[in-house]
Amino acid sequence: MSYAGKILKVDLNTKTIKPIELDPRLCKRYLGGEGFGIKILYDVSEKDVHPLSSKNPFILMCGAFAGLPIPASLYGVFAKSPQTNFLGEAFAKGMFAPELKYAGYDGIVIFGRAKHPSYIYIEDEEISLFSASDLWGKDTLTTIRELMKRHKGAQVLCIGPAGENCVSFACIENDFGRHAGRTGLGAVLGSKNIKAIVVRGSKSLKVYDENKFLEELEYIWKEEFSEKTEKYRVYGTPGGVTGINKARALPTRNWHGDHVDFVEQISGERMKEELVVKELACLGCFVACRKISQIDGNKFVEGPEYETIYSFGADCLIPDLKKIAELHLFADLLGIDAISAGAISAFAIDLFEKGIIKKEELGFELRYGDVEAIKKFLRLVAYREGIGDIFARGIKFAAEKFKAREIAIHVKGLEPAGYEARTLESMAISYAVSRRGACHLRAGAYEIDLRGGKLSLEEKVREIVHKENLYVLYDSFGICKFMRRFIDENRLAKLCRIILGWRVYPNQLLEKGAQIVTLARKYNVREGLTMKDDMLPDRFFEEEVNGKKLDKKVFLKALKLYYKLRGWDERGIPR
Amino acid sequence: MHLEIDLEKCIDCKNCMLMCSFVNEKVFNPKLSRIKVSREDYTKLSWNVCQQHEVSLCKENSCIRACPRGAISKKGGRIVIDYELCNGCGKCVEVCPFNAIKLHPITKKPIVCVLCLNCVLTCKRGAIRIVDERGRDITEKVLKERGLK
Repeated sequence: MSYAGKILKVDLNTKTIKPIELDPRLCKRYLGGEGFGIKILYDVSEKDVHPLSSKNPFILMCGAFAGLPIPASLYGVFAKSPQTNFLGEAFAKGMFAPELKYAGYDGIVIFGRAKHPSYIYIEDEEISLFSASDLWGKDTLTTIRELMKRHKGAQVLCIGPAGENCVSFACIENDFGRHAGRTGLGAVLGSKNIKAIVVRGSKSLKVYDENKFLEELEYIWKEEFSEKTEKYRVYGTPGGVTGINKARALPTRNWHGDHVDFVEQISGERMKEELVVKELACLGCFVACRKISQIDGNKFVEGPEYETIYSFGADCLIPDLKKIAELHLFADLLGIDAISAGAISAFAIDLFEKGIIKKEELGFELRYGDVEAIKKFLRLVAYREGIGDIFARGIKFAAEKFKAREIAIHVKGLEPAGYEARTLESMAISYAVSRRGACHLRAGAYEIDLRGGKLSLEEKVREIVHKENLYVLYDSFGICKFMRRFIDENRLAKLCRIILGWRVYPNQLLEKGAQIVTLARKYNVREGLTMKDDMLPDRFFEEEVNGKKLDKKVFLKALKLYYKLRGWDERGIPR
Repeated sequence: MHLEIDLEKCIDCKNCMLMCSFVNEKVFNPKLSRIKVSREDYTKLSWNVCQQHEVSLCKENSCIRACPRGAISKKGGRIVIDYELCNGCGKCVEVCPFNAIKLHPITKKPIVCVLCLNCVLTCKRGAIRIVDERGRDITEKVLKERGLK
């Protein structure tokens, strides 16, 4: 029920493609999406594999509920990350995961490397490996448009030039503007010579209890128009910009500042007024948080999102939504993660201003607010030209290379999202322990801080653990996190009963979430992760913003507490 | 009467399609939906559904005339397919000016909108309208008449 029932195993070395029956025990323990991805990655990948070698498997898994008329259209991609050298995972919603399930598959596991640029075409049982030599080098949008023309009614995910060039933060794009952005898994697909995956399906999904499901739909649909989702419905993610800036939690100037003076110029309200021309939804969702902006004439972009307004707008000091939108589109076309793209640009600007990299190396001056220079810089990175090659290997590598560790803001090699860690203590802890590097979506911990009220350190850490477990469930069932205010573990347990026919208690679900988190940790430890990798950037402890910095002793206490609550030993190793 | 989609209001969530397939086929599958919305580019959506009213656009009754076995007729303003007579030749699919008829992937027989109006009820964005022969919006009236609202 609701699972499509098969996982596709693709071996590019031998060009063999085999559907494998989904094991019901895997479903019960690892649920779907992220749970499947982490479990399969842990089981099939060899220790110490190079992220860009043909031995690093590329795994794509759909949420267990994807394809139903509820906001649950998620797929996740999993591999060893070229950006962090630990667990790489990224998620996107839209039409791709549902279509893959309609074709009969809950996921795809890709091994090996194709001899020539190729794309995988899936139409129910018919699966082919087509040449993509004519698409190689093309930007993401051109690729999607061309493949949609070639295969009418199909859904496409693809990489851009940055993925082909194995840039460590290359992303994967579907639906003209949805991205599995973080941790550089576009580069893994590129290293396999796979430009795109195209899918068209004609099969059906069912639910266990149809009548109860219809009742549940009425509830979910009602809440999709309630105040609980209003911000996303009206403004999309940029609805958060003004509030976060006011809370002095919007990082600027490569994290030397915590707010901007020009917030009304980059706010969600301004964007809605001036740029947005169309609202779109992912499959099964009435919220329609996807705002399409018109840059000019025939130039559109999905976004900018809160995160690109942070990464390009605040972090690179660009007080103009249209220009931010343009950079967002620029990153999309190259196929680089727009959070990392903005953050690494700000890092490079900081290096330039401090005289660590020079005009002669770049070929141009790189300063805050200079859109054209940032574009030139990102192009160098995406095509690995000159100094761009150093940045293409990731911020961690670049920081070592330029002996500028103290300037680079990242955890495990991943630049954080746009939530200031010195203002938001729970967020800081969550950045540190997140299995994929500094990420805001493993626990959404900024909400703990922004909600206000006095919480003890232990209460904060406990809530982070709880939220992490819950968020794993969202990413495994495929439920959109924007529904978090009305879909919690209780509702998820109910949905499990109705959709899958499982009798499961909310606490049991959270326990499964915890097991998945621990399995991800085991994977990371196997790949060499130590407690040192859970450290935050030194600047968070040394440089004040708004009179605040983190206390290292308190932070270490929180870290130990987190390990303890997870049942790991005091160095963070699962027992 | 027939259905129309207001593409300004439509957000391409495909809930209408999923509920169409559920009501008519008891499964969730957009390919089994009688109504179709597709996204062709950034802001470009398009839709297909049978325009089965007596006059104006569909007055030529292309599908009815094309069927070599006389399996398609119109009863009470609705297209009715006699699945006993139909041999799944697909002629009706070819000639429909609205691309609104398709073959069921399993039975290989044509499926077409039966005006059950579940899509109208599903679309909480109010993008699907019921329209009369002269193009007037009669959504409220029809839903009330049928006891659906």
